[in-house]
Amino acid sequence: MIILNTPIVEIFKTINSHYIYDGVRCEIVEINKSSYDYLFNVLRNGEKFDELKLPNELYKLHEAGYLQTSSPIKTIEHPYTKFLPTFLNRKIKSITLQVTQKCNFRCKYCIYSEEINKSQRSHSNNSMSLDTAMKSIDFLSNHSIDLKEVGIGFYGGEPLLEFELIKKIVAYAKEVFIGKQLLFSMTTNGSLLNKEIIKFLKENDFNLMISLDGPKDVNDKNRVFSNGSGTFDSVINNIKLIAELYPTYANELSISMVMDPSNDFDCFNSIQFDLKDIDINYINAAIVDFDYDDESMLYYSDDFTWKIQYHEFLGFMSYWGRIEDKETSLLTKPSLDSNINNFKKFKTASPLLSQDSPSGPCVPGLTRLFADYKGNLFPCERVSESSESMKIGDINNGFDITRANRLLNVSKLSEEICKKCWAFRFCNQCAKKADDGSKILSANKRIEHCLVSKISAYHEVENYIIMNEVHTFYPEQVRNSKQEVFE
Amino acid sequence: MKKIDIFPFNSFLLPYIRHYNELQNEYIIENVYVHDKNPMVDKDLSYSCNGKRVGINAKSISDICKSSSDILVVINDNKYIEQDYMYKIFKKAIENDIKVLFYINKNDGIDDRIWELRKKYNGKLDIVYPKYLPNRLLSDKISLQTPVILVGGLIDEPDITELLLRLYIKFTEMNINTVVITKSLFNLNMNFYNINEIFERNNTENDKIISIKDFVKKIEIIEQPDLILIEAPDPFIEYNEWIGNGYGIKTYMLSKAVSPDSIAGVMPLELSTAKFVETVHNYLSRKYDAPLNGTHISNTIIDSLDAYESGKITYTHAEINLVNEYIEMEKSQSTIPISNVFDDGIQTIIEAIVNQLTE
Repeated sequence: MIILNTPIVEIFKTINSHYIYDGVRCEIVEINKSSYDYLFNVLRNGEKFDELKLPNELYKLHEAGYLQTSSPIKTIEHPYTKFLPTFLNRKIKSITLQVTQKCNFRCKYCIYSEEINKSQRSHSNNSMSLDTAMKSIDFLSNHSIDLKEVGIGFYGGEPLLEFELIKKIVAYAKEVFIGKQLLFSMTTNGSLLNKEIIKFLKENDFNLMISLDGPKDVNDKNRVFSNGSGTFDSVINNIKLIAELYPTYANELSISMVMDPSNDFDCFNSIQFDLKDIDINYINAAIVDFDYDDESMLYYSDDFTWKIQYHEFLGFMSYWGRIEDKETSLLTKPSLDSNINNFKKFKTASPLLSQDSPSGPCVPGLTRLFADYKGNLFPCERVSESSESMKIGDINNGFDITRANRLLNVSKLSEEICKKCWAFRFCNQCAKKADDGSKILSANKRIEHCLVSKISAYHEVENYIIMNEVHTFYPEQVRNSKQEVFE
Repeated sequence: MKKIDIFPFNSFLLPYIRHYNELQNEYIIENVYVHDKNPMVDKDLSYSCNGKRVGINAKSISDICKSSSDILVVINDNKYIEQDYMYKIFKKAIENDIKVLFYINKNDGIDDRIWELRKKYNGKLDIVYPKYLPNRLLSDKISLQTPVILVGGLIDEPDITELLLRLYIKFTEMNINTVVITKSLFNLNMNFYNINEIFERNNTENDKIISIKDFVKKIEIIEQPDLILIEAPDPFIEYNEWIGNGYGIKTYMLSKAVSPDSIAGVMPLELSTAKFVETVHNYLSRKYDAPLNGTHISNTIIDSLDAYESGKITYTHAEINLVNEYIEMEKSQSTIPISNVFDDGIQTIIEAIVNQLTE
């Protein structure tokens, strides 16, 4: 790939003004229209960037250290690299246990289905033994000496198919972690919940996430039992049972939703009305995961795209206090919250350093360590268990630091491209994006995802700029009353 | 000397255990316990901080049945240990003819079963509250005459206590009558004071500041010390704009009650650049009206990614040899002593403090 001699910047235009985000200084600078037009031609039309013949404003900026065409980065290395063994040895926050690979559902988009996502494992009858589960708990205990709070997650397949095992694990974990705050969590399809299970989950203060894709017609299109029948009625009845038995606990439930964007967004969003009797506060809505499926392509319908954008807009309006929170979509709320939370990046991001790393990869295993039913360790539950390059150790032999380091420093694969990327501080590519199922991570696979990551970065910066143009200090009523006082 | 056992061990007790023989001469630590499945079992206590060896391995609390000690010191500083569990431990110890001293903050409740046990085994279970001297002295009219050294850090970490105790031991060796006010509940035969109770009260900040003033003045009247060492009740300053880390509010209140003359601080490893230490010094000088006269570099590394995600400060402990590597790189560039108290660095800090106080 040829890397042109262009400045490491991106341009932005709003209804009010023009800006650059300088990827080396990691700053947003307001510029005039002619400067914007000049850079537009350079960045979008491939015109030459002549550092000696720049428009006046850009010339001054260049003199002040902006608009650099070369990166100050000499080496790509994650700042945690040196301390990775220490962190993995002493500060693992949680472990998610794959208590079983069995599932009583056969969701049509399931990443574990036999038809799609061929580089993932398939459905099976394998379950974790109590011995492996106990060793996994011990592993967490031995690797979290520096923490006062740890978490244990239960994952599947459908974890509640192994409820008896879960009860034993919980009892054992409570003995092991005396003196630490212990948080349990579970992602379940919700179909097996009954009075006994709900009581147990409530008593142990489980953070419960139930998978539900929307109203009956939408949910049952993809989420079906192994006999092909729809699952909505079963799940919604169990959610109602929780609300009936423990209303306060029901309000703490989270819903996990997988959206097929070929549908109208309103189909998914209407779930809020179906659940109106329960005060659900959190819906984790994600797009179907085809990361491990080279054949399937995502299709976004117009009615999905504009409506989700409209609801994101409403979310911002709510943030500014212009509309009430209840008028916004719960589906877009988590991404909005994350977007707003990420605004700190703009104030905390340092200019690029001589040794630096793009923001994408996590520290493998540190926050969401995943143990499969055999006790193999992976950075989280979302990576392929069949992929050798994603495996970072096992509970008997500990972490494989070399592999973990490779995942942490996955950006080395695309070092030269990353160094010159304006979105360096906004990259959202985790190591999984470079996993092509082989033993080594793939540079090509990683680079393929760059465009999506840059689009996401573009929206993040754009949102921040717009947010800063909006006068947020006083709501309209306050401004009016102030005016009255002065009049 | 009477033999004592300690339970439940945590890293914040490590400095007391390490220096206990230098701090008093009536008791000797025989066993240090953790709960049965704790990963510290059979490991040197220093593993809790990845630090220098102590020479005492943690034992499983089940072994209390085999102990021949006179006293079991139980410190109630972990809200995740239920008193029902403590009760069972007390019972086992008492049945093995070991007296239990239960150190607890005055405002923390005590289970009825523990009170009943105390009643049943008269004299075998004592409840010990931190040493506090309540009194209204109108101290706002009577100022403190004794120099005060504030010892704290940027995060809540055991090395702050390590620095505090090493300063106390050194000053005592220099025949300087030094009084210590600490956060720790453990105080067996050490005559250390504690102001936790004041901060836990449900009254106004103004009243708390007055109470601290009175308290420290009363100590001055009773002990007539040459020097007062106070452990900062919370981290000095916020981590950044979003992570307050307590904002140093308690320490600020303390500094309004008792104006420090000098500050000794602990800095996490990766923040220990000369430039950053200078910045902290300037900040503290403005906030507390006292200079940072010396810093101990600990082996803690703040998990900045976790801080960004969770808004909480968590940290790990790096290999201890890295501390000296960092100090070697930075100390020549810093006007404020940067040292490691585990390797004689305390002397440098002491000299800087003495210079400050004699100025």
